[in-house]
Amino acid sequence: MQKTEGEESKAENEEVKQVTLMTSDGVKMKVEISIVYEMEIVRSFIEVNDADHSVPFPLPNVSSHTLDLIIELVKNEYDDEFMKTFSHDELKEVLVAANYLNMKTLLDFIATAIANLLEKKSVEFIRNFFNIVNDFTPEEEAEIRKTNEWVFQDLDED
Amino acid sequence: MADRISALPDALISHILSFLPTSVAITTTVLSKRWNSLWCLCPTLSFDDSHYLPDAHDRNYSRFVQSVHIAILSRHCHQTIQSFRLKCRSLLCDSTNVSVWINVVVQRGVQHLDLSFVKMFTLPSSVLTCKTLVVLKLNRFIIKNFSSVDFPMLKIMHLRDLTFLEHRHFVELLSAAPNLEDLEAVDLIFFCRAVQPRFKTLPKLDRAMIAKIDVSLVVLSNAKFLRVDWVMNK
Repeated sequence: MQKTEGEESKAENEEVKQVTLMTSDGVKMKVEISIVYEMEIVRSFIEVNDADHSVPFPLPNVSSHTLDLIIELVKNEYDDEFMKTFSHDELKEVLVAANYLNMKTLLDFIATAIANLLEKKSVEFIRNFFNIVNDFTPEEEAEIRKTNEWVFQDLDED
Repeated sequence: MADRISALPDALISHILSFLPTSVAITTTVLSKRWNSLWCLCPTLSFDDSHYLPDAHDRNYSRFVQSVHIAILSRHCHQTIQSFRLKCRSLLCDSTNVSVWINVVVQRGVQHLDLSFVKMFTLPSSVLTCKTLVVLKLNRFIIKNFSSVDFPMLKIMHLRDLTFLEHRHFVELLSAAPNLEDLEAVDLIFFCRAVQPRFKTLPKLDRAMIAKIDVSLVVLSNAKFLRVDWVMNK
């Protein structure tokens, strides 16, 4: 993995330290330690235990595909253009994983992206996005819309 | 995976909602029974009256005022309001309502306060003793007659277009924020300069942007990034 200039001094001590992560689908991935350090859940373990980095650290809630996306996002310093290529499912998977791994910057970045995507979208679009089953009767829904009439004015139809 | 996503935890959903204007967050009340109460967990409130401006009639505006009231009051009284952002461009906005809203969010332990107006109001003195503040952004206020000021946690202070009755009030504001890292002070007016104030160093200051006001360099001595647009002779 390539080093950026700022990391060189650190790398002198740490060589290009890598940590092996084991994803939910059983894939072992070697990840640069600077990226792993953004994952609080792994970082706190490594720091406390001074662990042998060749033993894979298990991430039973993160798939190899999601971890790939996360590594690319961090390496690209949270590039908006790259994230725009994500499907809705990928966005949600990265959100859930960022929360699980306790990556605060990534969590805020992806939550903001989802918020921007949902703003000005119709109620149906949002239900689809989150797989929400509408359990209101039409009367109940109409009542809620009426109570908050002022917020339902300028939403897209899609 | 699909199952886990359809059941995103409440905390994650309210986190997403916290990045939306409050009027948009409220639309999620209609999604399902579970979502109906979720937006109330969202710790941020963000309002902009420009959505109501195109036909700025009194009636339209009173709906905006009502919506801010409802949003603030619909939160449980023990629930923290982490962030409150209010942008009012209408001249119909009145100081009584604004004071009430600000006082309520201060009582609820607000950490991030961002207030921007077209009309000039006197800043409620409760803001100046709000110990929970981490971010304070003020645009167009009069600051006068306060007895104490205390910002132990404040890291970011952006002041724009403010009128201080006395120059020393501004100095006191800075001195009350020993942990300040980011200062913007632009277009500040000082009515009276009778007392020659003593600026204190801000030991943690990292970034400062100063324009059209006079500030002692003592205050700025620690800034790593400094932008000064225009300084009066002193």
